[in-house]
Amino acid sequence: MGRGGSRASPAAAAPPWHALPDEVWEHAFSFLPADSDRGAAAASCRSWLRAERRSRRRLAVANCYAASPQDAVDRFPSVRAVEVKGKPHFADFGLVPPAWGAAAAPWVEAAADGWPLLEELSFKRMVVTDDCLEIIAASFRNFQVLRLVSCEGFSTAGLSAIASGCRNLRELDLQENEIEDCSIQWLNLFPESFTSLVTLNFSCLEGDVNITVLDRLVTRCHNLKTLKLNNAIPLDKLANLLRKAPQIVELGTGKFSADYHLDLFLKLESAFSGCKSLRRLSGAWDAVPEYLPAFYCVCEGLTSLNLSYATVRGPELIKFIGRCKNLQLLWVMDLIEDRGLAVVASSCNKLQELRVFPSAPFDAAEQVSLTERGLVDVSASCPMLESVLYFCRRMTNEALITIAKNRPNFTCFRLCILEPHTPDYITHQPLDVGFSAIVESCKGLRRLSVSGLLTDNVFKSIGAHADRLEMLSIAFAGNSDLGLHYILSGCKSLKKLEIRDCPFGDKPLLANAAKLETMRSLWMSSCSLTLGACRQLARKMPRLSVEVMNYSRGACPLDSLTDESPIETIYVYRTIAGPRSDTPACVQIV
Amino acid sequence: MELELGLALPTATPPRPPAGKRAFGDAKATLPLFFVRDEDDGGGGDDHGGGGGGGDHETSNNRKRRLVGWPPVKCAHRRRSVGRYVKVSMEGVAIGRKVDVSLHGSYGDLLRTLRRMFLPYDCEGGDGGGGGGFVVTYEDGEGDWLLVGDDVPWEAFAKSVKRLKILAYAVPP
Repeated sequence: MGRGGSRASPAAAAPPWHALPDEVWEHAFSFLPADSDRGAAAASCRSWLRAERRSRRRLAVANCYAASPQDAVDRFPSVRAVEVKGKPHFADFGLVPPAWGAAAAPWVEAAADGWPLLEELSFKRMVVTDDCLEIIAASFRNFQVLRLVSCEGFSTAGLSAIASGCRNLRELDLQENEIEDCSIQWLNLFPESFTSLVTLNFSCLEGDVNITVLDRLVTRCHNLKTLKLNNAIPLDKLANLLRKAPQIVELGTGKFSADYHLDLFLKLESAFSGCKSLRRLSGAWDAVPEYLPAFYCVCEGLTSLNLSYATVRGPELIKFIGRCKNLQLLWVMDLIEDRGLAVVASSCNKLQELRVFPSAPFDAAEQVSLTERGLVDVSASCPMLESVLYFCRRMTNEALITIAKNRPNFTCFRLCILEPHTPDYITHQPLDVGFSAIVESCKGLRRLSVSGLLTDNVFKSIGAHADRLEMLSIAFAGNSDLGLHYILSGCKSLKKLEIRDCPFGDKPLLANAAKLETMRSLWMSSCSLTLGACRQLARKMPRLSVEVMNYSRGACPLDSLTDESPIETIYVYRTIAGPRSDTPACVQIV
Repeated sequence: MELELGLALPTATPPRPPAGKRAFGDAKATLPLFFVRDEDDGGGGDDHGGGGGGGDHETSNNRKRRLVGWPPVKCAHRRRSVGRYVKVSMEGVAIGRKVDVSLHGSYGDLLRTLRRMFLPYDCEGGDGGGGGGFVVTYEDGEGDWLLVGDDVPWEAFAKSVKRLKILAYAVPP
């Protein structure tokens, strides 16, 4: 290998790239940040496909019916961490019938068989049974992380299996699940020798836990960084636990209400002052204003504050939030009102994500002074704000235009005006212009939820401008088929579309059938679809699964219905697994 | 029980799941003209299997139709924010009030609210069962009238209380 000179044989010094051993490619692929990048690499040629699939360690299955568990195990034999999501998003609001599906069992069984070295398992909106948890506990000798989000179907008996069986468990993260309480003291079943816990989140559990056992567990797990308690843990016990775990980074308080007693206040204050690493705070905070000052010592260090279950309001709340100068994430009830958000705007300049939830979603008479003003203030003064979820009762186009101008860096904008069809409250015009401003200004917008009075025009803007939009939620909007057509024929990056109560019919769906295969899923309920269109769609697009859910018909077989029959709900998704066989009576695949 | 008059064809309500608190909610595909309800029983009502849109806690003034799954808040948020309104009456006062027990965290809190509602000009401190001259009683799930106080943990009280009544008593000289 000389300098200069002839390079007559360029390949002489090294093998040609396509003959490089797999290990080299595997190492190269480990630098690819996103699964989609890895997927693209795998699609280029056979050797890359081979190298990529054998070295893949993390797998995210965004729709449990898009592929079969066996497909996943066969293609990616070395996976160590798997995440599977089940029911469509609208299941969170009760729109999906019970027993719809999304059973975790087939995934757990396939994993137990094909991925014995599995370390992490995460399920979202799926039905996880106690059997599943027992299989998990028995099958993976190095199991470390179990995360269940918005799941149901299991009880404290299943948790006992995890506690007693998973010797290397690091994270047990239970978020917003429906867990049946069998009055089994599952916490007791972590052996005395068990010390590896880093995350323990049982905030959604409704029953009691043995506080002494919890205390011992917290004491011996020196690496515990995240602890999220449930409502059964009273304030004074919280103080004791914090003393045992001053290294805590993320805390979810238990029941945060009690009569004010000075000694309890001082105890709490002292316990919190020892938590120098506390960065994230959440919990159930009922009627607690007098105790908020006990937290003052941690405010400055907080980057994340979730008060979305807190009914606390008034000057104490505002004073508290105003001290949290380093907040990046704030979730709060609308009890904060515009004046509270003005304080957030002036104090929390590092804010990246804001969510404001309705304290009285069903009571229009509730007098909470939260309006468009609050959101305008925050958008004006928080330069890093990029994600918003905002429930309010009134909005104007002008406010939306101002917000769009202030914050072109939005990646997620979800506005929910509580009363459907609400126009601009000053001009009484639809909010088309306002939302159009948002999509035109925020070029990086990935998620959008629209609300209020909207015509087809807003969808024209969205279709034309929202190039990076991946998820769109529409309710009570639009006036004709055109609205849906604009969306499906535009929105280049659209992955998930969920629509309810809009006057969209068969034509735009059929005209844009091919688009649906480029998307993960489409949900349409209470629109103007007929069975005939669903049949046509299914015939045209064999790689789509077209599910029809008709509450009024119950178990009536689809075959007996005519093409003109109206359809209440469709859920369409692409799949390589063919039609699923676990549908309940009220769901049928066309 | 509610009777609904609708414009569209009647729909069969899907059965509620036997267990599990996240009820599917009634699929009211009709456009109700109005709700007709049996006499409001005043008690906050229990969960009927919880969540979803179930368990009307509206006062008789608030006859909004309930849309399924709207507004889009998760069950956990819905459950917390529905509230438990119970009637409060005071001896000798013709018009009663209603108080949301779920917005309070302790007896002290509740008594403070009651004092604000019924004795707005009362500047005396006082704690416990309503201060000098007044005592607060409640009707429990079994229809018995009991004294409000620390006999029962707050959480158990908040779940079982059906009605409150403030009684006056003569302070012995």
